[in-house]
Amino acid sequence: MNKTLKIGIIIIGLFLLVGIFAKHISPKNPVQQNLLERLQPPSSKHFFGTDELGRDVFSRVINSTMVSLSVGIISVSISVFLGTIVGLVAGYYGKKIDIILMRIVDIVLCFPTFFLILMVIAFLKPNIYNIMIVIGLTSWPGLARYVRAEVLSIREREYVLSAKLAGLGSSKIIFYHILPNVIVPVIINFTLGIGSAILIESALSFLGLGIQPPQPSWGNILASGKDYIHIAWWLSLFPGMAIFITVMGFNLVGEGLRQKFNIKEKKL
Amino acid sequence: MDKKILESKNYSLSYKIDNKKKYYILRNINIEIFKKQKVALIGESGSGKSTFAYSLLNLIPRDEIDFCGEINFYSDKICCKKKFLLNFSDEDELNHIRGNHISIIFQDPFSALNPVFIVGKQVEEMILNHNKKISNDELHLKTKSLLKSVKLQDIDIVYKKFPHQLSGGQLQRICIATSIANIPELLIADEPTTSLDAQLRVEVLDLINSFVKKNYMSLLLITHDLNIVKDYVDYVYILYAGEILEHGHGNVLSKNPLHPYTQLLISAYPDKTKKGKLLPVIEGQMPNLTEKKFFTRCIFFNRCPKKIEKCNSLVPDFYKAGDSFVKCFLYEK
Repeated sequence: MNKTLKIGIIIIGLFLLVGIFAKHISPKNPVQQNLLERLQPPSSKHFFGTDELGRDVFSRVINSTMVSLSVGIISVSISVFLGTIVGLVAGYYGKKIDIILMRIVDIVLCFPTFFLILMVIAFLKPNIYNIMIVIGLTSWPGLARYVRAEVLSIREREYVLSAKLAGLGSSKIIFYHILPNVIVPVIINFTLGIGSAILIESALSFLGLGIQPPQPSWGNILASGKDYIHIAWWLSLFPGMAIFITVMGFNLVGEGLRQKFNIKEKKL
Repeated sequence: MDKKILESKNYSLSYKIDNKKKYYILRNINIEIFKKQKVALIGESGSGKSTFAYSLLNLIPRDEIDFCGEINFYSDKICCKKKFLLNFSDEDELNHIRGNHISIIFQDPFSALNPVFIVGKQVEEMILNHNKKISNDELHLKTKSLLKSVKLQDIDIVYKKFPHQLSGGQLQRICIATSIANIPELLIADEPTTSLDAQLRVEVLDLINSFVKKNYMSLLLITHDLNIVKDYVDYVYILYAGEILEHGHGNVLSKNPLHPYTQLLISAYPDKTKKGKLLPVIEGQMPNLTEKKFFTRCIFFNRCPKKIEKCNSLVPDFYKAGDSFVKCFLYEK
């Protein structure tokens, strides 16, 4: 295991632990207000200070961890599932199916993802599930293209012909013989994708279209911090650091896996 | 003589390049294989040998090719006598025939096995898919006896190895085990020795030969090396640029080649008598098979050292000369 991968796994592991045991670790209730202690700088009582309503920023950041991680993991699961299936089917069957699926990919790629998400959220209720689904449904085309290209080369290999000789049907060949050969880039894309999904979620929450207050998320803590940035730097710094470190953790894992499996392609 | 098992009648196949252009890779191929007969199809790279083998098994995507003529497969066990494998629409029946009644050993053992599965499972897959009722223990035993029969050592260890952990010779043996798993009536070996070193070639050919004999199979051996296979096969077809130029009994043909191409091909093999001499080279290149104008004359015309005037304007027929059949005006009676 290389160093990059190790550091990435340690970071993600730590955040996962924090996320899972958030309720036990957080010293204060993340939504409880205390106006007498508003905008306190970091101290031994409030590690990350307090916000404009006197809530403990440390507890809020800790309690947001699971939100961000689950949005990242679930939305990327959706996009990886879609991208892999579309790529496999388009690459294996080729012809008209390939043309149709790849044009759909082109169409989805044409839209600026973020504005597409904004548009969808405008119509749907901005809650955590909708955000997961929307991020998942808009970020699969890159992977689909990549998987398709891999399948185009693999389907001509003799072991695929050999599988046909063994009397296997198309779906068995796709999932049993071809998928395991493209799984490495899929896993790498999965870890790299989580980082960007967390960023999208934070950006949405920052704009007020993501996780709704009072439920804390790194994005909306940042958003409320922007009004006080001149007098309370801690409100923006700590959730920002949390986003930065988590995304870096996932990117390090992705990068580490890529080095480990010696995949030279550029970022998907 | 035994019964016929496979015959191709005026079989032609072309690859579609684009809407207008086609690559006429095989033209008017007439080949007969009888039961228990071992036939070799010999030709240089690009002559269409592998295309012929793959198209027999319907392994080339249908939308990439056009074909005409017939290929008939006569089996005792199944009835499919009409235009077998051409216009074959029943996927299930095709899957049943492939691997079960006709099987193939691929050219490159390194790519014929899936790199992410252990080899034992890949042999089992071939048995299991054609015999779904087999129990796990039986399957395991059968796989091991197959691996043993292809003379692999330490079977229990080999069984659990991934393809990259084995040598070329071992992999080719596993490929052979996979192909003969269901004892097919016709075994196609597509250049099974190309990626192996000289000593292994003989071993692998011996192995294939012994299986074919033991199980009364027919063999279609595809290769570019007449010298090495002449002792293994009964009958030889010489293929050049998608056309059969000569066919006859293996030993006769190797000792007394008649077609100028076969003569050049055989004289180009290195052997003891040619020590210290330069090996002859067949000048020129194969004609461009996308252009039909080359098909109105002898296909070997541009490289032939013995060409006569007629060769440029007419296509020769097959003429019988001794025990062989030659597509050359030099043998016209």
